[in-house]
Amino acid sequence: MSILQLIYLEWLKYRKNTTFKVTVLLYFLLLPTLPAVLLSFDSLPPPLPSPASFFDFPDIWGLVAYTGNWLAYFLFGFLGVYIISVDTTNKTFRQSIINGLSRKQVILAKMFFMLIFAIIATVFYILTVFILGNFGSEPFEGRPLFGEEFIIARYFLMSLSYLIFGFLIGLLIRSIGVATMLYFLYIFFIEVIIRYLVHLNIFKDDRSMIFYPMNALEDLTPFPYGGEAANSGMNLSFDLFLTPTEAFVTTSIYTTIFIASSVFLILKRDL
Amino acid sequence: MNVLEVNNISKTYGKHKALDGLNLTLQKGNVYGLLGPNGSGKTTTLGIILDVLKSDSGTYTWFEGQHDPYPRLKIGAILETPNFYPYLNALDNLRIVQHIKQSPEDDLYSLLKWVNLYDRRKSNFKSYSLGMKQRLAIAAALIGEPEVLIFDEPTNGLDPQGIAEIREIILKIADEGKTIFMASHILDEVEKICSHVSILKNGNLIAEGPVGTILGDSSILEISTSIDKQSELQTWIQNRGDLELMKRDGSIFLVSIEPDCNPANLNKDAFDAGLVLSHIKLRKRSLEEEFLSITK
Repeated sequence: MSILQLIYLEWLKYRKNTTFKVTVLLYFLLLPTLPAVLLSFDSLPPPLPSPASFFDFPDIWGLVAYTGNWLAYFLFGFLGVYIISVDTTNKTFRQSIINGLSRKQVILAKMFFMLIFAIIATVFYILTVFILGNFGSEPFEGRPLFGEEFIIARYFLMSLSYLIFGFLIGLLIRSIGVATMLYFLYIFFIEVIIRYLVHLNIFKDDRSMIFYPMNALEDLTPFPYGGEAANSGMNLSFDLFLTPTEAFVTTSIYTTIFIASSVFLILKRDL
Repeated sequence: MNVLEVNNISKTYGKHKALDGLNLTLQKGNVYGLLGPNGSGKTTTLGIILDVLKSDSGTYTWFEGQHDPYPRLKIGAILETPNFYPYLNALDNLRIVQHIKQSPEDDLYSLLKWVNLYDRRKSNFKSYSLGMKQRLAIAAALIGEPEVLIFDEPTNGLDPQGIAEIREIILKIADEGKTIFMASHILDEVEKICSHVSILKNGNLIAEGPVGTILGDSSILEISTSIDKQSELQTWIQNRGDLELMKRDGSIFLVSIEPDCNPANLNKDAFDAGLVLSHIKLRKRSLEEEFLSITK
């Protein structure tokens, strides 16, 4: 079966799934509309510029990407959990193997489906940026169109990584409810607690605390000027945010580990 | 042609050995029953040959390697429960199976008619009764012109009407000359459907062969006496070397006897021992009785 046929197989499974459709729809609705929340503020605390200026090129890339990061955290992570949990809880995962797919084909189908999804999400991000940048604010004449370092690639990796991380959690925990809860708990609390416990005594001097997987993922597309604001407020000896390159490399490494772990589990585990 | 060859397969769950060096061969065109008490390794065996469970050691080969590397495309199987997407209707679920099997020429409508689900083809799977789910699973198993069909307890949990429907469908499939491998608890069902049986106990194959061979020449003797003499009769049976008490069914004792044993002589011996038999009947063993005797 070709890669396209495998992707189509996944599409056959989810095209009539309400949860899948609502989750995707929420992303398409919220990505262009949520950034407008910023306009409800008259001004922002220094060193942040005026809310309207975030809608100018090139800052609009960062603003929409930051919005997308929150959406991806909630929606794509959940989707990652969901697309594997639907198959494990209904035992259709094992039935696909029984029906003739190899385990390798099952992995490829899921991975390429997530890859395509991340590509579509990124294309929609680019469209959103151009629409909001052109119609929602000052004309960009005289300003550079692109400013953020390889922001499109970072957005794509961010989208894919949330999906993959959710997928791994869904693979480890077969109950969809428990897996979803664990996914959110990990990002909101567990990683934060681990960072706190590990770095309790070396907090101010050790930069390794910002290289944790979900922290790096958040730093892929941070709030524009957010790093400067955080650093000026906390008086640390190091930057609290990873640089774009650091975040990209760190997230790539973690995502590769997550993919390898997923592949290992599917290939070796009883289904 | 050997449809399946299983060589020395073992599987352990923690400290429990589910399969212990199992060897098994299925030949084309036969209908095999896989029997065994709960926990004997039936579902584990089917899970391993369908690649949803990993064996600790041993190998298996489908179709002498002819359809490698995707032999399961030529196998239709239901393992434990019918597994479909609950939010999709019958037709959409079958389309997924059809896509996996790469068999676009299959007429799904005809299949749905064949298992009597055509009228409910647009209902979501989650709205189906267990019998309907099982029938849909059989329809799915038939997609892609499978050479072998595997059923794991196909009538489990069904009401008498559902059992009769599934049995009728399996018999129709068997009549088409397909190889069937069926694990079942219902020995009467296996006896009616299967040409061959394999009996598992504690992960070991303890008997296999054509049903006729498994049943052999051994017979069962039903005997009974008056209520006040029943314990004496039981002691008399147990003290004789040529009789084996299999079970007591109310006032009737079911006794396994040697092929050359003469019931008339037994009746006389009982009378001489002060026991007047009120019922004596010689009959062939059923598969259930043979199974109970073998797995005891």
